[in-house]
Amino acid sequence: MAQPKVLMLGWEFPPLINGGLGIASHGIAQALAHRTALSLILPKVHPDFALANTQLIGLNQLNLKKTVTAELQRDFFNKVEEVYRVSVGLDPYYVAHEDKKDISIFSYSEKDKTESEEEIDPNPFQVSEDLYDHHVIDKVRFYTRHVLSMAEEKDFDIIHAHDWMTFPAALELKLATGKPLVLHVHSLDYDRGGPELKNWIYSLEKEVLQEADKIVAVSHYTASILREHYDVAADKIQAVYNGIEPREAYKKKKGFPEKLVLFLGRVTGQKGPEIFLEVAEKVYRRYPEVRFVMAGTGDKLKRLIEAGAYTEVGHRFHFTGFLDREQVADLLAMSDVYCMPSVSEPFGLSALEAAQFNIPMVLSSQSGVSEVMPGALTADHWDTDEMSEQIIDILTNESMGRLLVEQNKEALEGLTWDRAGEQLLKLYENILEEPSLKEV
Amino acid sequence: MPAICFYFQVHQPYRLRKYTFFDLGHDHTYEDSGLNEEILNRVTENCYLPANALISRLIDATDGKVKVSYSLSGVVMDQMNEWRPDALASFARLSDYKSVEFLGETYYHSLAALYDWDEFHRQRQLHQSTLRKYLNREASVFRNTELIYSNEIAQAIAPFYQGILGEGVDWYMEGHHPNHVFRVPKGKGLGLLLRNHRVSDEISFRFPEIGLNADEFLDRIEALPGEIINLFLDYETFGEHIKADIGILDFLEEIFKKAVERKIKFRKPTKAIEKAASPEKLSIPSLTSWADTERDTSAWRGNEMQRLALKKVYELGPSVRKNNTPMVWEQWGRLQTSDHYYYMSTKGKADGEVHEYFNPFNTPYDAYIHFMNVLSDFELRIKGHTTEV
Repeated sequence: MAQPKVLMLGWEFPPLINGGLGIASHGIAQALAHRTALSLILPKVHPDFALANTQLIGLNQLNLKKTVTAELQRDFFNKVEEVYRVSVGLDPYYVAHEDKKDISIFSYSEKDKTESEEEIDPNPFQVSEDLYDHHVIDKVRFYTRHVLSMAEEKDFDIIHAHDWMTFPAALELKLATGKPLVLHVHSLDYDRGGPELKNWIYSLEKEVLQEADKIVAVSHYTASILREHYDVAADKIQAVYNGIEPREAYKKKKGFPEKLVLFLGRVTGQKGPEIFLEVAEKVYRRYPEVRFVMAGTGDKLKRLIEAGAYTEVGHRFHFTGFLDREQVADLLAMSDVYCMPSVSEPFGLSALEAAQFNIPMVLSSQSGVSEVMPGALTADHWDTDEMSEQIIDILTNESMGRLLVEQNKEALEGLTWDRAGEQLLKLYENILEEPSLKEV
Repeated sequence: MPAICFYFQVHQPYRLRKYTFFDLGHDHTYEDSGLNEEILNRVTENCYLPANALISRLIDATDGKVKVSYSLSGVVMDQMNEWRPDALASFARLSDYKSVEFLGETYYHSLAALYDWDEFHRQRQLHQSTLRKYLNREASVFRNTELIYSNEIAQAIAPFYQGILGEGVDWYMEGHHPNHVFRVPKGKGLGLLLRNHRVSDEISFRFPEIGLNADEFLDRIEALPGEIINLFLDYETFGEHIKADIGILDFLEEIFKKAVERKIKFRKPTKAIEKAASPEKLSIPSLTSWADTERDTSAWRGNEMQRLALKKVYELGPSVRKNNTPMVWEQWGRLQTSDHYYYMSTKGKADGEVHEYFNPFNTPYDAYIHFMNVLSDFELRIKGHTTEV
């Protein structure tokens, strides 16, 4: 069988990485590059960044002179009639008072649409570095229309799209071409906002997920959310774990005698930073020779800093703000315990990094990565007693810590991007061999 | 017609650098020397030198009728000594004039009076001996950091000074106006001078806003009841906070010159207290200060970050005393400088802007994070967990 021609739709990609999505998209693309004929369309491609055997197309690099005429068949964007945008520095609670003077509302009314279509769209990916700013919906809409327009000239067998930002484009492509659609789920609105927050993005995810031919979930945990909260049929979902590039671990000497417990990730509700603070307090009470570090930044950072100052562990609870890759490695090289208390973590790539650095770990049970780390201690994210107990166990029992590290080390060997690539190739082949799809 | 008592606060902290978690235990350089030197240079050029020159010229020209007082924190004198000896020499020249008085304060411009009396007195004495060393003066009037004042603080310094300065906080004035010399309850005859914030603010806020002229300003003073109008200001107002090209130094010069023409008298704090016939007793039981609209200590300990940082600094007292090395005493003192906590303030609006001035950190959170890292390192050092010391 000839190599399948894959049209992949991505959002984050190196060097522009906000979270796991960029790293995973890169790992997957790299593994598929020599297994398939791969084209990858991204909002932004850095001019110096190339991937062997892959056609990388960045909307930022295109000279989008001609007006996009591609008709969208679904009205995802008309559904966001009024999206409240709160200007920076404004108390978000003002929204509830509906004080329209203070809030900028942008609407996608029919009038606006025709006006903007007559003119040439300004290319948002040439202007802004941020893929997730206030204009994210504008960006998704721009991406959708231009991907659809570009794909008219492309030859491909299968569409593979990563996360909701690319889902509208992916579905429009499927509707326009009849090609099979694979959706790759790295993170869901459920993870980011919880089960109650069923907003526009949730609806979009749900609508497109229903129409996909196959859904790749980064873990069985995510597969269960797809089944339970998105009504996706179980036989449509396949779990394919992320991988990690092997690397040499090293140790870095701490400048202090206390043990170090690490939280690494965005400081947002989903990642459970408040849980980490609570756990830290409980650990410190019983095991005072310890420091905690919260590495990362996010919307909850300020609140966490103030809350930290209120606790008795405050003076042992450090913040680093945003760290680059090297600093993250240095921090891993100093840490004694890695703690990931996420409320909902589809996978959790940084736990694999911690395993590479031989750090014993305590993970939230609501995480994908806990399925592949046999040496991880796990607790429900709400069970801070259990989680602090486990951290103290590791801090006080070094031989146990070593054993846990060994178990995870072994598991790491199987967690390669190549393995993920192989699984995805099989999945493509199965889809393309399916008679019902061939007839389309 | 009331007399005028001018007092200028001269202070610059040793600002901290962005001391990260990775520095902890490895690097013991806490301060941003480059920034501190740069700011001291700037303030010296914009304010200290030209304003000192103006004051000495005015004293000469009026045969000593122009009288002022200063308080220089120990840490600003140290910084001048290191980077701008000409600034220190310029203050030393002013100290030759009888018309100039120098006040006592805590060496590190600290909040020690709120946390540790032994440390407070150590800093008070250290400041006294430094004043002697650099300026050959003894202070007989005390002003606590940022005019932080209460009966208790006044009583604590009463055995050592003739008077103390405070803020005329409206809601403690019991119907009085601040234009008298007061007596501190149980203060062994200690005199109390209270800042007239309305008239003081005419200079620092109203002048740049509406371009007040000296005659209007003095009309206002002449119309006031009482015998002394206390104008207490940051010295940096003159040329730094308000730049010379707006005319602030000219305005100050005009005030002095026209006041002398109008026979308005100037008094130094000690003289004002000595001259007061029968000062009335005034009790200020709660902590007051000249900072922010609250005029209390919330500028430095209004939020949890500030309170934890201060608590932890003063908890180190016993370890510092046990360690008892000059380096540790000095470092502990510098970490007590009130500015570090001021930078952690999360107050918004107009007060927030004032907190921003000279602030080396972008946000109060940054100020807190880096301060706490420094404090952790300092604690490790004095407890012997790092190699050096």
